[in-house]
Amino acid sequence: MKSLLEFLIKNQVLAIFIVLQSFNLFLVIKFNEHQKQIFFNFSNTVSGNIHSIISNFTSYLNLKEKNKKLSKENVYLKNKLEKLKKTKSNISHSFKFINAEVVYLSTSYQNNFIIINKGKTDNIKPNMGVVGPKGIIGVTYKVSKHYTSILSILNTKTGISAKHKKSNYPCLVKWNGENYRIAQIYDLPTHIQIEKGDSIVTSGFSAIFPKDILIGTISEFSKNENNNFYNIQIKLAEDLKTVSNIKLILNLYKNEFDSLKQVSTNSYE
Amino acid sequence: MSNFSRKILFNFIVILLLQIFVFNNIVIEGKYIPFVYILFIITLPHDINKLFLIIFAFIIGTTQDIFSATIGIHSFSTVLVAYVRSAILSAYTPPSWYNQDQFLEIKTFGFGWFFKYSFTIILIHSFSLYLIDYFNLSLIIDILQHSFFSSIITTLFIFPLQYGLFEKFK
Repeated sequence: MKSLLEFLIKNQVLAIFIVLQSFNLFLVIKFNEHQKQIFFNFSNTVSGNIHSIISNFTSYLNLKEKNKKLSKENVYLKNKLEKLKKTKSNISHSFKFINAEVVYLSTSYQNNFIIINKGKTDNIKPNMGVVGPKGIIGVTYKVSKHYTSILSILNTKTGISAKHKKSNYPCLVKWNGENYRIAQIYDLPTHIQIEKGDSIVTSGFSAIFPKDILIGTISEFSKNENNNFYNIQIKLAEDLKTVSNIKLILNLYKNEFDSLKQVSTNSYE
Repeated sequence: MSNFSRKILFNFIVILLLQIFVFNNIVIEGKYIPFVYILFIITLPHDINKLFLIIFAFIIGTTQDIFSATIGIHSFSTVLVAYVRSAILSAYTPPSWYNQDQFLEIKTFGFGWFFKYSFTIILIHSFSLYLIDYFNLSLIIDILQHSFFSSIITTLFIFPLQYGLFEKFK
């Protein structure tokens, strides 16, 4: 301590010089916006690099735990794959999926549309089913050369043929134009047992959607006094406000299906 | 108060007032300001107390900073110049006949020596000043250019000041 003091007194000019210059630099960085910004950018870069070096080292330390986690995830994913394989074998092989991206969507009107970046050049036709990663979205409506508009489920004109999954009873999903997360079903008769959380899936009765694609889950229901039907509110599986990647469903034998249906109905009449 | 300290005080006040009220308003080509306050550091005698010199440099630099809203910048380069001044003086040995307590002025030391000495100090001063001002080494070409032309302009203003100001004070 004593020798340090002696050293300082001996080099007092240098000591004062260093103190004053450090003080000046501190003032420069503290009170001048331009220099402050550059200084903090620089120190951020430095500390960021140091952090990445440290995390490079420390990441080796918990490799064991990470391995455990990954193997767990592997098992989970394998199980899911098996399940999916089973359900896929149920879906008729006449369906093909086409990926597309949303370029415009609305959810705040009575009749909402979505526009996607695929059109006639990509083999898109009107009345094709559209699904998102979590559930159903709507049906294609008008097709231009490079774009397609979709009547989303949030359109008072759309009706999706559906069924109550537990009972297999068919119904029609409509939207009353109020809440963009909630759709309605009015034609399930009261003799069917339903519960909150029951899945509503596509029926597969039309050539538009394959069967058993999730539409939503029952969030609320009540009995209608005037007739023997439920008033059911279903929470849509897909959040249509945030959807960006969608799949279009192409039914390879749709024309055949439609013409057969028409011929049968006509001949019956 | 001795004649010596009176002269220092007079130089200090006059140069600061000139810098703040006159020269800070002379902006050449939109970016060159003559920093004549450095003349105070230049002219102080050779054997002046170094501690005293550095503290004076800090005061004069900080005053200029306060009046030009550049806190710390002028102060930094002025203290730096005050610190390296003795090294420059021993590199450019003045004529042998002078007294160590004489003010370093053009009339006693002649144009050639004084130009060499003062231009070196001004160059260091403005280079360190613009280095701190830009605060970005990738603009080093701009910094060099800016500080070189600024030094020339400061020097141009310092010489007439030498003849005008200090001649009168006897």
